[in-house]
Order: sequence, then structure tokens, then C-alpha cells
Amino acid sequence: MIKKLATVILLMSASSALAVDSPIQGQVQSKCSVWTETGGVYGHPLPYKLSTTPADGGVKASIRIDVAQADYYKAKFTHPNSFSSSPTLNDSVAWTGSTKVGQVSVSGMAAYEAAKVTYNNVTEFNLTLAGSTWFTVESTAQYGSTKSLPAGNYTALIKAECIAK
Amino acid sequence: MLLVGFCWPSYLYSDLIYGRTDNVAKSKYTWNMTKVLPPEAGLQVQGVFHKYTITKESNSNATVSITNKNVTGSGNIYERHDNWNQLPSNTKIGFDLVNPSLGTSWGEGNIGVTGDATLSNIIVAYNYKFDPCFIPLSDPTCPDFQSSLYKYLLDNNLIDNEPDINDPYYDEWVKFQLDRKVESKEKEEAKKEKEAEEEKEELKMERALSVAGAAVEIGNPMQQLNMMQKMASTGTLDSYYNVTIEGGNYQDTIELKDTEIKDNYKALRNLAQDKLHKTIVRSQYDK
Repeated sequence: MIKKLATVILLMSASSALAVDSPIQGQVQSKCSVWTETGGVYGHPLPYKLSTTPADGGVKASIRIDVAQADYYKAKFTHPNSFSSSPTLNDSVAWTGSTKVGQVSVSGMAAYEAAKVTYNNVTEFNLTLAGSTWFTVESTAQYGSTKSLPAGNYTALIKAECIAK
Repeated sequence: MLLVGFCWPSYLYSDLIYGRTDNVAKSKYTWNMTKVLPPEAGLQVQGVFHKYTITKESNSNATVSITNKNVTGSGNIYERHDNWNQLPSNTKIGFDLVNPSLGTSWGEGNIGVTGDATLSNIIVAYNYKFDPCFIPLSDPTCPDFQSSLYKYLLDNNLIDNEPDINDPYYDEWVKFQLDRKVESKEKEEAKKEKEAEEEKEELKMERALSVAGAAVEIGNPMQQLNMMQKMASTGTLDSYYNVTIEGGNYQDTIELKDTEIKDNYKALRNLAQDKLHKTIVRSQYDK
């Protein structure tokens, strides 16, 4: 009797294993990466002006984008239109800026500059080639019409993105 | 002697050294690799870095080429051609990994532009690696230094002959000989020590076997014959031969006074113990 019962239990357990959920795992790593090579620095050539232009005592930001897979990504740069931190400002700030192709690792990337799309404070590049591209971002802030900026530390952020097309 | 040459410490090791040349195109567009790469034997080139700024009209055509002639074969061992046709001026940065190959294979290097363009701010540099112990005899800290030195001395018949004072490995030869002497002395001392130890051990054994030796001697037929001859010699056995035993009755001298002989219980107990012992012993085999 015991033997019979054991057989039944075995059969039942065997039949319950006829269907299983077998997982398939995968890991996706981005084939595009963004690196700040040189952080920008504002120069203060005039009481009301902050500028990253070297002639104004500033340093342009250099951002590198590495693309492992050609023609799958676009780069989107947003130059600042506000300070992320600053002393209290009682007047408006006029912002200007630009993003340009700096150095390239493949000669064909030089064509990115002519093909870039600019709107508002955003510049987009179509990354059609694999390799590294250095982008240079400039930023200028003018306070009031010609008001002196309050003393203190000023920080503004550049947003650099690698977006899948 | 062979052992002396090959039983030096093996914990020595060498690390590969990686480096990059200076900018070889700083002042001219052509360079000689023998003056650029370090002279280390076995050096391998494994990458080429370049950076240059090309100035041109966007609608013009130009190609920038960086090449290195192949010394050991025909053509170029390395070449890169950047197509700048219809592209604006720019600065290019690049690094090309190449299959590591001997630096001696790398011939004259060159960077140039064809078409309507000019180059400026040129940087070309070579990444290389080498094993400082590629020639093990180059440094006494190299892992194979001792075996290589031994081979060198052997090949040049210098194991027992003093080399010329100008021999590049003269100092090493002196050291080798000193090491050899020390080794030899140590071996000799160890041998003496071992012999002394063995002698001591032998004496102990002799003492231990001295009884057995006597037994062997007694068992020797020649020795026995000699003994018999000594015993049979005149006068030795005479005292036994000349004894006279008187005739008559010889009564029993043993008298049992008790009428009853009691059992020897001690013996019985021994027998019981014997039996028990036997049972225990048998139980090991009668399972």
C-alpha cells in the first residue's frame, strides 16, 4: 500500500513539472557615453558680465561623447539660461551661449558642425559615426543692462545628453 | 656543477614596461624611428597616437596620411589616411591600436597632406612596451639571469677559465665563482656532517649487534671444533671419567605426608583466563 501511494505521489509531482517558466536574461549597456573633459570657468571681464570666452578670462567647457555604434544616437547640449547657485539677483540676466564641434577622432565628424540643429538654448548633433567627438560649450551672462553683479559664487550647468535616435 | 647553474632562486620576476615616445612630428613631417624608440631589445610598438589641425576650405578636398615604412618587408607597417574631402577645418585626435610588432620593424615615419589644406599643431607619438629582461643577462635581477649566465660561461668555456677583464660579464663571472666556492664549501661541510652522522649511527648499530655477532661466532664450525679440541685435551675431562658410583638400592627420597592432594585453584583460574583470552582472540576471526 505504501509503495502504491509513493508511486502516485511521484506521478503527481512529475506531472506538475511539465511546465516551467525559464527566464532569459540580458543586460543592456549604453553604447554612447558623455564625459566632461574640461569644466567651464566664468571669467569676469566687466562688472555685469560673466563669460567662458578665453579672451574674457574664462575657460570653455569641453565635453566628449564616445559612440560605439554609428548612427544610433544624437547629442543634445543645453547651455545655461539660469544660475544653479548664485547670490540673490534682483534684476534679469541675459544669457547667450553656443555649442560647437571641437576635436574629432574621425575626420568625417567635422561635418557634424555644419549639420547641427540649434533652437532656444539647445544644440543637437547627429552622431552618424562611431568614435569620440569633443564639443565645446560657451556661455555668457549679462546682468541687467549693465548692472554690477553681486559678489559671490556663481554656478551654471550645461546639460549634455546622448539620446537614442 | 650543472645543479649549481640551475638551482638559483626562482622568485625573481620582471614586469613589462610601457611607454610613449615624445611627439615625433614636433619639428618635421618625417622622422627616423631608430632615433624615436628606446633602444631596448625586444621593444614592441603597440599603438600610434596622432593629433593635428587641418586648415582648409570646406568645399575643397584633402587627405591626411600618417605612415611608417616596413623595414623587414615591403610597403608600410602602419598607415592611416584621413579623408577630409568637402569637410571643414578641424582638429583630429586619434589612437590606433596595432598588433604589437618589434620596433626594429618600424621604418621611417611620415605625416603629410595631399590636396588643398595645411596641417598644424601636429602630434604623433608611439606607444610601446618592452621586457627589461628580454635579454636575461642584461640585469642580474632577471628571472633567467643565472641560467643564462651559466650558459654563456659554458658556451664560452669560461666555467673554469678566467675571462678577459673586458668581458662584459667579467664581474658576474667573479660572482659566479664566489658563489660556486661557497656552494662547494657548503656541500663539503654538509657531506662531512653526514659522514660523521653515519659513523655515529654505525657505532650504535655495532653495539646493538655485538650479541648477535657472538652468537654467529659460536655457530662457526671452526670455532666449535676448536672448543671441542680444547675440552678434549688431557686432564680436562678426566675428573668426570674417574668418578665411581657405588652399587646397591637407592630408596625414594620423596615422601608424601598428606593423604589428600588439594586442587590447585590458582592453576584452574589461569586456565579460565586462558580460555577467556582464547575466546576473545578467536572472536576476531569467528565473526
